[in-house]
Amino acid sequence: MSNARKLFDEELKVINVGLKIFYEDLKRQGVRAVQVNYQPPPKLEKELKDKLSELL
Amino acid sequence: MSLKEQIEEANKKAVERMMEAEPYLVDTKLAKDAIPGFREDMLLHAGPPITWERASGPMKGAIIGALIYEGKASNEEEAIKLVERGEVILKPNHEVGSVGPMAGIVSANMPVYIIEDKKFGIRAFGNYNEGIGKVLRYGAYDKEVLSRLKWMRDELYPTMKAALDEARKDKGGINFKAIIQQALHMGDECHNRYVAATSKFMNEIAPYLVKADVPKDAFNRVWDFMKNNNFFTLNIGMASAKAMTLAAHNIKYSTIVTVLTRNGTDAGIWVSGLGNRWFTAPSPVPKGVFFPGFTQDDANPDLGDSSITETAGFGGFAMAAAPAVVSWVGGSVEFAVENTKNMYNITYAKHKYFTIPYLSFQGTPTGVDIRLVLKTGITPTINTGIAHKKAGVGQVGAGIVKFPFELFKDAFKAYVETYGA
Amino acid sequence: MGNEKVTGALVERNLMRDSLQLMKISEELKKLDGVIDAIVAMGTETNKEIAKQLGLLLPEVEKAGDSDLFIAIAAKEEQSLKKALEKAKELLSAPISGGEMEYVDIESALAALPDANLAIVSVPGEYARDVTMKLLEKGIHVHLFSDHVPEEHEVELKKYAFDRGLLVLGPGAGTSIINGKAIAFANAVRRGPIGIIAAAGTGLQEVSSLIHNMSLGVSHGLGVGGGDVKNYVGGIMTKLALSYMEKDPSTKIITMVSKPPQQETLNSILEYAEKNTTKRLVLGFMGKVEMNLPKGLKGRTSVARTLHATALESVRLVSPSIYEKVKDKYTIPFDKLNAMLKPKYEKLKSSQKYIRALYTGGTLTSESLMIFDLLGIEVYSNAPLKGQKKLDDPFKSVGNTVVDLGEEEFTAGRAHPMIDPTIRRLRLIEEAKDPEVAVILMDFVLGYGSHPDPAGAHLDAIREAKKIAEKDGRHLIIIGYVLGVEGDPQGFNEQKRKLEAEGVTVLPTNAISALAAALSALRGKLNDNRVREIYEGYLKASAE
Repeated sequence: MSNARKLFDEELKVINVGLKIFYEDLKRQGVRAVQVNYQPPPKLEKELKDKLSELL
Repeated sequence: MSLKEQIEEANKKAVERMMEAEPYLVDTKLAKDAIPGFREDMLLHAGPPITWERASGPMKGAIIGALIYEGKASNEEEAIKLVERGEVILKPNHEVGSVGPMAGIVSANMPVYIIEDKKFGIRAFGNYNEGIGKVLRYGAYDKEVLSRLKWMRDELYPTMKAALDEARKDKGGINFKAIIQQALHMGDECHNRYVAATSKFMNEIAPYLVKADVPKDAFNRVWDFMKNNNFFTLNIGMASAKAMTLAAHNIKYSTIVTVLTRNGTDAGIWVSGLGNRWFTAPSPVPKGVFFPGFTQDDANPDLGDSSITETAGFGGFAMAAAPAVVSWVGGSVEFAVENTKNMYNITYAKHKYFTIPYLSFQGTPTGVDIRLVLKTGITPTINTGIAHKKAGVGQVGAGIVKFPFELFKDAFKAYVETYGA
Repeated sequence: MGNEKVTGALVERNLMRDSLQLMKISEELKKLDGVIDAIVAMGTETNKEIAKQLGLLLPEVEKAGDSDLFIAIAAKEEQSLKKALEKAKELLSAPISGGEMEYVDIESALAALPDANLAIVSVPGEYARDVTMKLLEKGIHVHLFSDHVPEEHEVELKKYAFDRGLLVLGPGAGTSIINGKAIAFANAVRRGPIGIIAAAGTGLQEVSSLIHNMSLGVSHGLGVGGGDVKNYVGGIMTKLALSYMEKDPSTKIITMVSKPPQQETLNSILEYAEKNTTKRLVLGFMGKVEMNLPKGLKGRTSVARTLHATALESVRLVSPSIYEKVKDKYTIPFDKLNAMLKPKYEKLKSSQKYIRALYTGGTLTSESLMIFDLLGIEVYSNAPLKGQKKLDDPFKSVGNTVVDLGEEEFTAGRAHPMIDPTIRRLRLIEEAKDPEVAVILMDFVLGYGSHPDPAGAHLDAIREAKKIAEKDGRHLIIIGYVLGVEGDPQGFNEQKRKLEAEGVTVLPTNAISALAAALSALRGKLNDNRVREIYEGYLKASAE
């Protein structure tokens, strides 16, 4: 099953992950966007990581 | 109910209690009379537990100073011998509901503020603020420091006491939460900037000083002391924050941090659902702006209970409300805003009462959740004063510091052990 | 007064900063009173090389490692130096920000924009898979700008996405245009009937901008990334993009732009197109390809070998009347071009014989290399085509050189030259010192994502280059190609005007610019047949 969201001829809504200049340029064009200053997740032992995703 | 749902419920409760607490400054007494369980041979200190051997320069300096202040030693050597013989009990402030900035040393005959939370009935305590520069809390203990401490006990304390007695009679004390709330709209973040809060407090206390019929000379000296010390109300704000975070403490299942603190050697935290169990890691050295003649190399690892302000959702977390604070702690206005924004990523809620005009009056980031710290790798970032690493020198600057990640990881491990699968 | 200067440097250990931010800080510092030059950069070899050229490879800087940040400043006197170093520190501690919320993880961003339909991902390549997968799982299409994404990650992501009808544009996709909006590095091109699928970032920029300037427009432009047309991917996203364009009612013809696909992939793309499309196709593959068009594509497919021809053919198919109007302007007849250049190349000394092309756009580099190849001009490049010579040292030109300054060796630890002009400014001056250089060719890529004023940022260097040549009694021909449209943030006409005011020759397409460079270096003595061949075979498409 595809859950692909409609893209062509739909209002663009963009999540920009990384370089902020792209976010700023989208804003300049009047596009709705949110900025993610991505940081790689901290390295955790597997059990902790699993536990964390279970509890979050 | 799954553990995840239990956490959700517990955190909601914890953070709501933190925000709903209503700390009032109700009274002031000497520590031995105010703090339950306080003993004559006891010294309270900032941060997680510390031994004399592991204590850093400024912490040692403050311990020496306090022992001389108490008349237990007449000089440095005697003080050191006394501690080395094991005749002094060192106890973290947090374990008795108290807080103190930097070394945070509280001895039996030092006056403390008594904060009472009108909502949940919790009490918290905080020592008096001496001003900046060469002061006991930064490890200085020369004559000037000691005579100031004596004056604070002999004149400032009774004066405050008389005024607070009047305030209590009149309206149950001074609502310090309201002062913080307003100060955040007046350019304070209420950790390293208390300019507005101190002004507000002086407005509040003035009529009671008059009513208390304090001698004119004493009134003048006390008034000048308050006027000339922008940090006068820091300790009251901290004790208020302690009351708020105590309201959130000991909620079963909660992953909210209720103590963030450092003693100059270690940093330590408490987590609501894990009670008074300390998680510690080496305290980082702050980066910052130094007074003329000092450099980064002089800086001691961070110390103080003052990060209780961030624990309660203001201080460094509210830096976006206080652009002017960067002239004191360094960085830029943009950094101040960025830090607040960044802290939203690791906090449970936006504060209901503490808001930031610049961010369209959003609530401050409140209630650090250890799960979010583990997920994002972002740790609480606070602003702080910087002590010289040698005993006796005092404050050399102010800056920014991040809590170590390991604290939160260890706490999460312990959490998993406690609440299991 | 005179040439006194003082230098100073600072190194911040293990301090990582965005190269864009660093570039901005360097620019800020240069504006300070008394500052002669400044560089703030990560301690990579490339950056140290630049510091060396600026005379700022101070002992501390030399010791800086890849993860250390260095600040090196030359000033007129001690006081300015001190102030500048302090300012640098201050600027470094100041992250850029606005009044809005920013997030550090995808989940929080999704909560803030729950109906997002597109993401732009530009994280370091090693994290690209995890981030992209998270977005795809939510049904969000991804424009993946990141480089250095492991091939197996690219294949995994694209297969996953293809099965769900999701676009993964990239990795390494510099440009897309969706619903008339520029994504990453793209131009303010109007909407129209031409759908473009590109495995070449500046290729998409060039073709879409030319179409716009020829008064037509683009429905959507999808950059699929250079890896897509290689056999390890097998054109997965090219195919999905073809389906998207086929279904899109606003797309009348489908234009493809790419370096020649690997053979097996080419065949499978063509086979897919035969079965899954009915629209008219323009295949713009930069270079020679062995192509057996499947039956179902015959009669509705044009083949073009340059960006120039790809754009013109697309216009011709949509509107023959517009094509008639614009073709002479864009494909300047040989004699006219020669007459235009003659007064300039006649001023050259006999010792001046070489072309030095300093490109920021990768596909523009390829297009020029191809044109030189066809003209039989021997060229060196850091990104040579088959049979051409590779530069031993990409930092040093020899003979005729075409260099792509956007290649890795120039961008490690710093921003792309479309954003940060420093590298090219220095290189331009180096070229001007070489008495054998006749022509310098440069591209100026406008649009979103690019430097706010690329022409303006080069004017000082252009003046200095000319001065160096003149001092030596030489005339230097500089040809500038401005890629962009009037609506770009930089403004096409303004950029063109700035260059022309400095005596730079500005021509309407990159291909014509390359041809003009060759014509000038050879004083108009181009083999007539070859030139005709180019005009007919390369600057025009063949319809099959």
